Amino acid sequence: MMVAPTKTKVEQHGDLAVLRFEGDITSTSEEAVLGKYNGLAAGTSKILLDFSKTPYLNSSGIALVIQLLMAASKASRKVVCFGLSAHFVKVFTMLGLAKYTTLHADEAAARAAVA
Amino acid sequence: MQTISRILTQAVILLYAVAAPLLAQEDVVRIENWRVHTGDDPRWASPDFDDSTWEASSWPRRHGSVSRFFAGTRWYRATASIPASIAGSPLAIAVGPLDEVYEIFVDGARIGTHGSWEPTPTGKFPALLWFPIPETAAKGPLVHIAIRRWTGATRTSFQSLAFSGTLHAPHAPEIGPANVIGLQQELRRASRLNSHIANLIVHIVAFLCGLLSLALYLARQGSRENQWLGLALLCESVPLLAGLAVSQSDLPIRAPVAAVIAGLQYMASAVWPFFLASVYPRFARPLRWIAVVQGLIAIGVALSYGAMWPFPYVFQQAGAWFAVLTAGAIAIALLAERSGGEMAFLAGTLLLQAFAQTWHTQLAGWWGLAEDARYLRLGGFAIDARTVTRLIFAVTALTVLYRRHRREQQRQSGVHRDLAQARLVQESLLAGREAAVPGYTVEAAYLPASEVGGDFYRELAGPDGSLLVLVGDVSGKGMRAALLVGHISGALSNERSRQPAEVLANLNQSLVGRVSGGFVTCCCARFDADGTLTVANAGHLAPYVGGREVEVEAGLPLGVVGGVEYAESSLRLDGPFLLMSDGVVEAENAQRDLFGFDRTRAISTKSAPEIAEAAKAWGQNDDITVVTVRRMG
Repeated sequence: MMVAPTKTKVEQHGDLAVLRFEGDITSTSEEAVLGKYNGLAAGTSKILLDFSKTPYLNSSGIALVIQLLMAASKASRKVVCFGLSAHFVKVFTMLGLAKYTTLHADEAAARAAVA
Repeated sequence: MQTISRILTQAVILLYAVAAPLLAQEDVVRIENWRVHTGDDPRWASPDFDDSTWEASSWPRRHGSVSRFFAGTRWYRATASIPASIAGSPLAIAVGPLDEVYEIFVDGARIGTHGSWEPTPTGKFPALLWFPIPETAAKGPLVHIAIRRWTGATRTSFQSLAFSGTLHAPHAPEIGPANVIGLQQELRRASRLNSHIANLIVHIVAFLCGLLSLALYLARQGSRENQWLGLALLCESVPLLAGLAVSQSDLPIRAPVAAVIAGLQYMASAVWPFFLASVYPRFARPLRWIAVVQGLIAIGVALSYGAMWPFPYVFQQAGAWFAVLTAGAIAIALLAERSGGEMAFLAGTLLLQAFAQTWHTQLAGWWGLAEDARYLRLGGFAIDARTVTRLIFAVTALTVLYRRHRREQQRQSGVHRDLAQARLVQESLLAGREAAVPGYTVEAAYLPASEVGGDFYRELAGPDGSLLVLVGDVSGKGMRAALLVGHISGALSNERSRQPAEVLANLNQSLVGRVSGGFVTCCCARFDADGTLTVANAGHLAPYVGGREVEVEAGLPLGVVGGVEYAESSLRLDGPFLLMSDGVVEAENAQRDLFGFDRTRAISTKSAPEIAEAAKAWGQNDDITVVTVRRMG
């Protein structure tokens, strides 16, 4: 199956950064996930991950998200996610990621969680 | 095609035999003393016109001060003395092939025309023509011949540059007995047609080679060299075949058609560097630049033939010389690589092809070689050296690709053999059923997405009659995941604990630092003889019991961080138990709908093979592992 490359739009607002993913997140998405995370401004302390345009994450893609969460945890950055489909909300929950992130239905709820 | 060519060859030989006595050359007068003048005046056709102030026309390069690249109308005038031996017999004039539009006058009377003058001059493909002279036209032993000729800013005839625009190519016009002139021109035509057929065969072979190469590309996605070779051969052969078709037709040649045909032909020179770059990536950068320059030249050529560029032949000349120079540079670079005979052959044939092109279109003209002398003679065939060298290069390139393809196939079959053996090893590791545990039946289905998978499952019997079942999934696929599965299998074989949380914690410790940025999910379930079920979960899908999803505390996947403690949940086993990998819920159909949790739950009481096959039928895109456990009695 052909997989379109993941695109990531980064919005930086002071200490808050929003990473908006577009397309499936798979093993080929390292630059789009970790590359963009590593490029965030040093003063970033709050990060929103927008999955509203991400229909599918395979296990390799989820591994990238976990690596991002681990790196953010080590750097004491707070990460919240929104826009995940019900399926992947369940998958993220089963993965025990609640310790590292919170899952929200939409951007407003996610922003409120880091306010 | 060979049959046609053989028939034509025999016909030409027969014609020569029959015609030889008739071709008394002393009766044919070659008209050499031409004078030329630019401009257009109908009075110049008159035998009484004084052309002594006109410039003499000399072969091969110039007509006096009139360049053969001249655009516009010019007139040629000459006088021929008719031998007494043929005086009074029907006469004719032989000309051509001349581009583009012309008409011939004898003693002021128009005897023939080629192309059309109105409303704007429109040429036809230059042909060997002969025009009978009406008895009323030639009035004495001296005949006055005038040719009114128009050539455009660019030639639309695909003529060789060497003799385009001249009057004397392949030889000067001739006058003689109509039957001799007519037969002579027909013989020349047959000979040219024969050479076209030989070239036609070569072009068709090149065209078929191009299609074959593209077919190989489609069969082996990613073989860029096949793609570029196919495109280059089609770029070479299609315009040449089209040009041959046009040359054999009587259709007027329009500038846009000429632009497309000529532009495409030159574009082949821009495609070849891409082919070479795909075969030898080391030279990709300079080759791309060469392709860019060749592409610009091809556009320039197309504009020239399309009459949209005021300086004719600049691009054609530039293209010819740039091709031979770059081919030489590429050949030297490839030879300098010293990495095998293949490259030497390819480089040599490339150079040969470029040289043949330049020799035919440039050097031969400079040395004053007539058009006919530029062809190789083989039996009845006149073969264009450019075509032959082109074919040699194409065949060499195809051979190189075929040999590479064979080597790659052998390598792939070796890899497949290794993977098949790896799969057997993995299956033997996965089938780790130590002993049947009384009171429980276990059923497993394992469908890897490729030769080796990243899923695993194990059954471990406890000394107290308990049964431990694990199902896990290594993130990613292929060998890396398979090797991790091997490691996990070894770790589980050495595991002494039968407590699910402890088993996962130990496995986690053994995986930290070994998962290369990935992770391993795993669910471990213990079945006691009294029907108690104890579950610990490391980021894996929760199990189902009796068609219901079991709520277990989620733990982090294995291998991410060390020192993780996992929670256990206990319950009574009151129905069929199901544990699976995410290949079931994330099976995806053509509409990109996931199999999902709801469908999984709906079939969760079925047997393991049935569940696995349902997910596979939906659209497998990951390893599928399903384990069911039923309590007997």
